[in-house]
Formats: sequence, structure tokens, C-alpha cells
Amino acid sequence: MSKRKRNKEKRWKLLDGHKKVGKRFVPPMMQLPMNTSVSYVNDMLPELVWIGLLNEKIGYVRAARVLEKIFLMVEDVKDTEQHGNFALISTFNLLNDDQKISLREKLNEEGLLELLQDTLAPLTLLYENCPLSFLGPPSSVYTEEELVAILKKCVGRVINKYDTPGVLLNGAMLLSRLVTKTIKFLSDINLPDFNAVINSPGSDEAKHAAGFMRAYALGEFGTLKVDTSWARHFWNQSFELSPCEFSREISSE
Amino acid sequence: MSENFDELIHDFVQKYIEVVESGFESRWSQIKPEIYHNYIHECIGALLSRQATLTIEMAKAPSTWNGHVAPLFLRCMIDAYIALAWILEKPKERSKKYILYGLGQEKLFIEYLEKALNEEPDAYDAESLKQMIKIRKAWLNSQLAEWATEVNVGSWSGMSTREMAKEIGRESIYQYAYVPFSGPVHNMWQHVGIYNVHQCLNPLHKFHLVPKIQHAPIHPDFMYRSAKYMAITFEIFDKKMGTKSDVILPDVFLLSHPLFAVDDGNS
Repeated sequence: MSKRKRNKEKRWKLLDGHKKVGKRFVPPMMQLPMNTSVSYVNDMLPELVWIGLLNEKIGYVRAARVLEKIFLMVEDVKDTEQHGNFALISTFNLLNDDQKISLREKLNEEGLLELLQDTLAPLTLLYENCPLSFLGPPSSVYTEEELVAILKKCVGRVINKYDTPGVLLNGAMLLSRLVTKTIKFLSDINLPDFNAVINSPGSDEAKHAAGFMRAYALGEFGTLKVDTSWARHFWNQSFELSPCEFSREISSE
Repeated sequence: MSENFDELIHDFVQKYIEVVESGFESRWSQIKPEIYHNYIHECIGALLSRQATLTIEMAKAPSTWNGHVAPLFLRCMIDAYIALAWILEKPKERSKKYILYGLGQEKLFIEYLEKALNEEPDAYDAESLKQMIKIRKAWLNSQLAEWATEVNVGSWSGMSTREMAKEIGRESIYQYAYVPFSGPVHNMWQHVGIYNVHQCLNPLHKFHLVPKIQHAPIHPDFMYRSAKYMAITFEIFDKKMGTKSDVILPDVFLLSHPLFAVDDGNS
């Protein structure tokens, strides 16, 4: 290879792939048509955090089985025109009072109601407008400090969408669709092994599955145009629950 | 240790001022002013003096050698270097452009002052305002009659600083010094989002940023950069004006001073 050619290959092209629009350089992904901006932390996490609490309480595998049952029960009680992904907490606001009572009864019959009441206590007791508050309060007694500590630990674990707890929150949206058969993949699409996320985190297969789950969740969330009332309430109320925390180094300055 | 450090700083500042002042004087003393087109040497000399003043003032205030304040000096020094180097390419034409732009800005400011006085003639500071207008008008008219002074609200050189840097063959100084130091000068997010906030570590607060008046540590590298910019200014001046100086360059002096001696890790 000639020296000149090597030099040409090494040349760094500034803002490669960006499109110049007036004085702005638009990055490649932002040039896509119908591009909508969705924030995982801001908007998706509050919607999915209830699943994070369930994962923390009973582990990923058992939680997935419980979620499957919940999604199927919701499918039974809701009307066909009540669209939405029930992995997202706000979607439960679509159910009317009778449907909520019916869902509660079904959960009770399956022996899941108490588990959910207990697991979701941080949300149903600390937030005024929790869409799952119709499930009722927990049978056990918790102090506010205990509830805040449980929620803080959970949010701290799921806040990074690239770590397994965060990946599984994204995956719950796909799980909901697969269980209720409201999504189908063409036979020639090579689906990853979703279990790899839990069984062999960090493996190439797990990364493939995680990427698939995140992409699906982000895509569907963007198209659902979920009302942001709960997300806003969740974060603003969360701020009120405990004080700011700073690293010792900075605090002691 | 502290006493020794204070002595070292004092010694450095005194000698650094001498180095910069001597470097300036030794060069300027070689210039024979062209009095017919006096604006040329006035412009070039003033910019060289400005650069020397900035680095001296920075050296005299070691508490400014930190991320909050040093960039204000440094961006200004890079600006002065680019302007001077660009003017030195075509001194006659460009120094005139530089001066006329400045006079136009002064005329505009005087207009603002007169407007303020006209709107509030009985204001508590009306007298001092009148005095200020008088002095500023005298300065302006001593160079170019007010009626003949054009006001240009664009760029004085007719091009951007990046283009000027490119023209003098120093685009890198624009990319790696002018651009990053512009953030602190204009209080932009890339600066205040680091220097004026700290992150709350509570996940329930979404790791938000909280404003904080932070104490940025003193870093000698900022003073080194200032000395470097002074040195390259002297160098471009020598190259274009044909001057020579035996006075040590400020950056070379700085690196040889015990205050800036490389820490071997044992101290």
C-alpha cells in the first residue's frame, strides 16, 4: 500500500455522517424520518419501575412468570378496544372500576394479590396517583423510611438501561406483547435467545438480546405516545421523599 | 513548606514580570515608527502591549490560575494573538480596519449614553454621564471626526476568528484553545455544567445537578499556557517586524523556574 493511500485512510473526517442544515450539523440518527425523542430515565423508567420492584422481590425468572399471568389476566378483563402495553403502569388507568375489581379478584384467586400489594407498596403508599393503587395496601406494616429505601435501591439498579435490571424492564414490554400474542415476528427473523440476558449476562447472545429488547421498547414507547403525567408525578414526588446526597469529598469541602 | 512556596511564588511573579517587560521593551525599541501612517504601529504596539499586560496581570494573581478564571485571560490572549498575527500579514490595510471598527464601536456606545441622558436628564448620575460623554467624544474626535465614523456591527475583520486563524496557518490554536476557552467566557453549559454544579447521588433524584460555588484547585498549567501565548506573540512579532531579542522567552523562563519544576513524586 502506498504511503499516500495510507495517509488518506488515516484522515479523520470531522462530524462524519452529519448533515449540514444552515449552521447546524444534524447527527445521522436524528436525520431519520418520524424520529421521536424518548428518554428511558425520564419517561420509561417511571412506567416500568413496578416491574423492577417485582424483579427485586422475587427474582427475574419468577417475576417473569408472574408478569405473564398478570398480562393474560388483563387481556381477559379488558375490552378489545382498550389498546396499550400493560407493562407500562399508566396503561392500567385505561381500565374502568369494574375491570379493576375483576382483575383484583383474578389476582387473588391465583394467589398473587398479596404479593403484588406487598411488592408495590412503595408506589401505592408513597405516590398519590399510582395507577396500581386499586390493588390495595400491603398486609405488612412498613415505615416510610423502609419504603423509600426499597424504592431507592430499585431505581438505583434499573436506572442504567444497559445493566441487566434495566434491560429486563425494557424486555417486559416485549414480554407483554409476546404473551398476549399482540405481536408476531416473521419466521425469517432470527430472534435472539432472550434468556441469555439472565443466564449469561455479558455474552454476545445476551448483548444481542438486550439490544433487541431496548430497541423494541424504545420503538413501541415512542409510538404509544404515553401520557407523561405519571412520569412527572413520579420524579417530582421522588424528589420530596429523601434529601440530596453528595459524595463525602465534595460535602466536606 | 508553605513559607517556601510563598517565597517561590513571589520570586516567580517578580522575575516573570521582568522577563515579559524586558521582552516587550527590547523588541519595541527596535521599531522605527512610520509617523505618516501612525495607526499601523499604534495598532500593532497596542496589541503587543495588551498581550504583555494580560500575562503579567495573570501572573500577579496566582489565585486566578484555576478553571473558573484562567480561561477568561487565556481566551482573550488567544484572541489578541490571532488578531495581531492576522494584522501583521497586511499591516497597513488591516490595522486601519481594526482601528476604524473600534472607533465605530465607541461612537455607538456614545450614542447609547446620549440616549440614556436624553431619556432621564435629571437622573442622579446625569452630570457624570455628561462628563463621560465629553471625554469619550474627545477621544473619538481626536482620531476621526464623529460624523465621518462608520459603525460596523459585523465582525471587525470581515471574517470569523476561525477563518482568521486559518489564514495565519494556526487553525489548531483556534480548535484546541479558542473553542474550549470560549465556553467559560460565554458562560456556556459545557463550562458551568462542570464547574458550577455538583451531582446529587440519590437515584430517586435522577442524579440531578445542584448549583454549587466550588473551589477549583489552582493549576500551574494555566499560567504555562499564558506564558506560551505570550511567547508565540513575541515570535510572530519578531518574524514579521524583523526584531530580535536576547531576553528569554516567557514560557522558557517559566519552565526553568523552581516553582514549575516537574514534581518527581517524592515531594
